[in-house]
Amino acid sequence: MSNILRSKEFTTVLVFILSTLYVLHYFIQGVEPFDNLMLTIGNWAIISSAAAAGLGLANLSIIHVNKIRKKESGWYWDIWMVSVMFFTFLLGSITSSQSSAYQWIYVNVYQPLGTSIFSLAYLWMCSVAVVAFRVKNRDAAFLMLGGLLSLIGNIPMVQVYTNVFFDAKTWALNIPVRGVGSALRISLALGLVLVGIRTWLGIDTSYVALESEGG
Amino acid sequence: MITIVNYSTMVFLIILSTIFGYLYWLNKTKKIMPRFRILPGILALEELVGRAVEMGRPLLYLTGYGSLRSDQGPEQLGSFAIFGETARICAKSGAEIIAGILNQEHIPIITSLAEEAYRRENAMDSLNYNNLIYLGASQYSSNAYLMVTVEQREVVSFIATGWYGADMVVKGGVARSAGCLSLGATANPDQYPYLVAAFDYWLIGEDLLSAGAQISKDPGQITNVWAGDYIRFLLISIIIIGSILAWVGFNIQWIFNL
Amino acid sequence: MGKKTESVLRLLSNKPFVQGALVLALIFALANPLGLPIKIDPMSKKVYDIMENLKPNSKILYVASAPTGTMGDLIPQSVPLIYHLMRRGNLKLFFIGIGESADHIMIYIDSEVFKRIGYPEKYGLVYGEDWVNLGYVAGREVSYENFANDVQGTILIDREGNRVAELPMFEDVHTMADFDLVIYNGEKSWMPIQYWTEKFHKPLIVLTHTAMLPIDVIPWYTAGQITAYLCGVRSGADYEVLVDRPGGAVAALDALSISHLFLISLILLGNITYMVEKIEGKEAK
Repeated sequence: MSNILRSKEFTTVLVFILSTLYVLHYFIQGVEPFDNLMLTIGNWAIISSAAAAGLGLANLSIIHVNKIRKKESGWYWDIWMVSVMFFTFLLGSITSSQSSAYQWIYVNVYQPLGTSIFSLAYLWMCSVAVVAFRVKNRDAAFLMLGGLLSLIGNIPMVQVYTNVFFDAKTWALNIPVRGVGSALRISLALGLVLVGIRTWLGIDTSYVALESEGG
Repeated sequence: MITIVNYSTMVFLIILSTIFGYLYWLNKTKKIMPRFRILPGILALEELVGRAVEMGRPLLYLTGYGSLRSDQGPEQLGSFAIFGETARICAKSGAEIIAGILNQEHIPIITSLAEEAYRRENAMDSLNYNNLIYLGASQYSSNAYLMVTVEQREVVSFIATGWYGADMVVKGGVARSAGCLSLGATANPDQYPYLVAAFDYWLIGEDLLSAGAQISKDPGQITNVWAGDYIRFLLISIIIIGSILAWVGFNIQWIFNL
Repeated sequence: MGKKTESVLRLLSNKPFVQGALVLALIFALANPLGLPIKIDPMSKKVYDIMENLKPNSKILYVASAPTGTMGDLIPQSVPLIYHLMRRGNLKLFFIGIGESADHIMIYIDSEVFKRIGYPEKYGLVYGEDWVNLGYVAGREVSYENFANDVQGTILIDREGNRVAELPMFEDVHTMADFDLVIYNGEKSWMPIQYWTEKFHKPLIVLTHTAMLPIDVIPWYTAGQITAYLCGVRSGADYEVLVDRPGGAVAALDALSISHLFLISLILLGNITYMVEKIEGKEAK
């Protein structure tokens, strides 16, 4: 039975049936039993996505406990990681995510750490920009001019004294960039539809292994 | 009362399906197959794995955050196709691959794709499950993991495919500063500039979405991409005709009310 | 290559130097604000006018979908906007978090927004009658669609543990059609557009960050699918001035200017040394 459930054929048939239901629901409205069915399926999807968080917990636990058992280099950091992970999980489960203790962890630990790591993006952007904006040819020169125009147009200090750069940047955003952005989005949307059709019809099965024995 | 809605979308899907069906028939009966533009990013996979083999160091692969239940799903499918191919090349050549999984939904998929790739190359003994690691579904944890891993494990090749947010520039910058050869692939338009600036090889937009077709060389997938090209020509024609009509003063608003 | 050119190139390639210099410049700017006048962007004024002209008892759906990392660019405009809405005192506010980044939404509303401007009760709003905290809904697109078609079926219990159907302000709220305005604070504005505003034709105000503007906001705005938008710290500062409550965004404007000027000088310096290196190389030949 488990071989049938894990087989590629079962997966593609299931995907086909569910995709067909969703496509039909997009076009056919006013059938109450059908609407209720799709609402129920949607709720199952929401629940399964929330349940997938447990997979992440299991994966991290297995890998890090293995490292602790084998005493690989830095194994004490794995103990710290697993402890913090389970402590936060249990705290949120036993009390609630609204409890003051859980909120303290989020506000004073997770949020500052996340914001700090994310702020590195600008630092790396500076390093990459020095190399990327080098004028090696004509195209690179246009790239640099466009980048400088956009940067200067964004500086609040400059806008106080002159509107020229801001207006130029706004024009650039509203005319050429908007055209390119729209074209990219249209082309991308078409590509997404094509992938959807491939997946719906079972032509593209890159999300499932062909042979599912063992593992 | 039963009502049919979204007629314009229905017409579009019918046209797309007709073109696809016709091209698929052409392929099946008359064996007509379009030539695929060779994507440098796909060709670079061998080079990236080869570098890892030569230097005896691992290749780090990050598979993207995109949810399969959203518009990020298709680019994640492209990412899985590239991952499957990379894992197969690593299994064949003996390179060590570290797969960082950035969405919990992908854990079983990446695991089974890795198993399939190693099984195909009869190299199941060399598959290290401890190298298939979930990094948490956030940019911060994956950035931190990347910064640590490129130093500690001396990663020499880095591949990041799938949906990414603003951390694309961090990943590319870290890989470049550590001396890694890197490939980036995403269909998130906001990240194209950082991808091109920070990575050595890249696949953007439609290149990633059609990567699966190019790698598998499956006629159905290639024909599907081929049909997309014809639809694009049709869309360009409609845009040009619509622009001319609007410029001349024709009222075409009724089309949008269909 | 000349020694001076070589040393400049070495400095520019030295990441600790580049990044350290930037951090020092930002600290200086934050510690010594220049206090320059602020020029209000017309778009910020447009958003302000829309909020100011909302009819009494309008039902406003505020969607928070801000990832932790980009909160620095997403919160500055949400704080004065929520303050403006609460200050009105006669609107119905529904707060919700939808999207994979929104699981911290209610903590963010508490810790980042209400902590700075005070809870709605301070403005005379009563929970359940004038404002409600609906919490987090997992599931991305599916949850957007489900919420739009059946609000009370998708969220049975609010953040405080009350049954949503029993709250007075939900008496005539069943689908997206019953809301008067949607405010989306996050990065993926196509989701409310696709599932809510397209289908139910609701006005949409987007609060997003600067990087999203060219590709993600301008095309939708010029197509009429976004009514107005606030973008980044700059818009946040404008809005703080408009509601007469200068705060963190105004204070951060100088740091914003300094960081931009720093990046521009790096790019120009990098190009000048590159040109000099090329000329010296040609001369050597």
